[in-house]
Amino acid sequence: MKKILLPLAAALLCFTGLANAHGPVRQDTDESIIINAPAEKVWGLIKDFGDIAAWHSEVFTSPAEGGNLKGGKRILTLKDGNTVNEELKKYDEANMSYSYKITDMSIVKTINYAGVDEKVPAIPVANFSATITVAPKGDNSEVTWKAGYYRAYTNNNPPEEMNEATANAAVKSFVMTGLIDLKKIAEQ
Amino acid sequence: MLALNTRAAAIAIAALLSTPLAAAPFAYISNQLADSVSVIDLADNKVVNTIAVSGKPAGVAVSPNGDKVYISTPEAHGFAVIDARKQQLITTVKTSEGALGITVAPDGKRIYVADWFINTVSVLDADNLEIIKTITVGQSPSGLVVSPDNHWLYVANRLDNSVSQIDTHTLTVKKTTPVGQHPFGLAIDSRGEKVYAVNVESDNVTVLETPQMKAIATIKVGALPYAATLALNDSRLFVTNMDDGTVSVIDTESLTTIGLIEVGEKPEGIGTHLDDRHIYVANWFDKNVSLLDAKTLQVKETITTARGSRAFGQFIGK
Repeated sequence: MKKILLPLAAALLCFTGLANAHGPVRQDTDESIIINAPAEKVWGLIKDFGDIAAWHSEVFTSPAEGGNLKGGKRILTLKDGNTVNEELKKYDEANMSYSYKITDMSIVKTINYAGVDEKVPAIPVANFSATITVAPKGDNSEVTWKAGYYRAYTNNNPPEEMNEATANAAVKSFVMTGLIDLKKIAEQ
Repeated sequence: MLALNTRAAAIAIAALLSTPLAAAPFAYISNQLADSVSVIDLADNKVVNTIAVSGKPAGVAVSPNGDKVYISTPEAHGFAVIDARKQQLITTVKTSEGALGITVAPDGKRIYVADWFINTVSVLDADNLEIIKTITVGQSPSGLVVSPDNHWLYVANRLDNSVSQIDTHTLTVKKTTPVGQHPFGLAIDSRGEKVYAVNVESDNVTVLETPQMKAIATIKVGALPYAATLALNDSRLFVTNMDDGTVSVIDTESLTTIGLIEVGEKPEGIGTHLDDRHIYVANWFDKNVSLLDAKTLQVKETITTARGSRAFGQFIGK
């Protein structure tokens, strides 16, 4: 796994790191889905942090290192070729839940806005963290995926590509796609 | 006669209904994504009112006598004023583009509002709500506290990694001292001798000896700390760690961490009850508030609020 990660990490150095500043209002996405399969089965599908490419159709590959421990890392390559680096913040096997954050992203495009070149990241957000949890519902289960983040634009009056609505739409789409994919796989 | 009596009775009832609510301490929790403020009666820890406040309410400051509550509204470019006795929004004030941090002077006469985008602190007269002066500080000013003697205003300059000290008599910056990375919340002790700056990006707290502004210690806390409050005669400092969903407990004499309390997800604003023992923590992601006992370090209760609870600032008042 390391062999794959090292060149990838080197390649990522070319990308700009995430801005540390952010807008004044953190946004949220909080979605859940009922899956007609036991919680243990569903958790079994998602429990390995590096396995997201196996169940999320938007993720092409997701090599990982550090396992399911705090500090574990994965790099998602999305279907469009963009990358998202994520780090495990909390792993709770007993409650079938883990939390992670985005630590870096590739840049999709640069737009000139208010006289400044603004880099639009793979997912147009900043300071993103999320938690995914599987809860038993009788013989079935409910998966909840919630995320907190800021818009990508750090100054006042954001351009459309980097405003709150765009951030919310992108996160919601990624989360819902993943939940629906997971349901399909788990109910097979 | 009968008509008159009825009218008199009606007036008496009206008077009764408009009688100010009992002056129990209250906590005012800004729910940023719900555009509201939850009012918690601290006598029984129940939400007694939810006041609609548009503009993504974030910062909170309660006037010292408990009559007014000032709520910063970044998307409305200013702040809202709540009459605490009637628990009603009475007016809104425009200050600048990115109003976030807010505080009120210990004598209640001035309101200070930090602007996240244009790097200023607006000083307003609390009586007529007019801007007296706009002071340029460091980048992305956020947390604000005033010394108990009303002489100094401290400002956390988030992107400059510093804290500025403003002389409230001259309304000029006297000194700016480097702290950790991205200071956000500030806390000050009751004697005005120490200011604690919570550094979001370096996961620690800088202790400044004031008014000299000398950094005397740096204390490690959890991941992405946000704000802090003191309790038990300033002997303990409680710090919210956003990424860990915990509160770090620091002994202010030894300057060491003596406890860690699990609260909800993304804990942000934190404040101390007037009894100096009970601590309230707004859990942004869980839409609730955790009530902690500073003595036992246990969570005593969880109070449901609304989406995006932030309560940034001094949100508890008489």
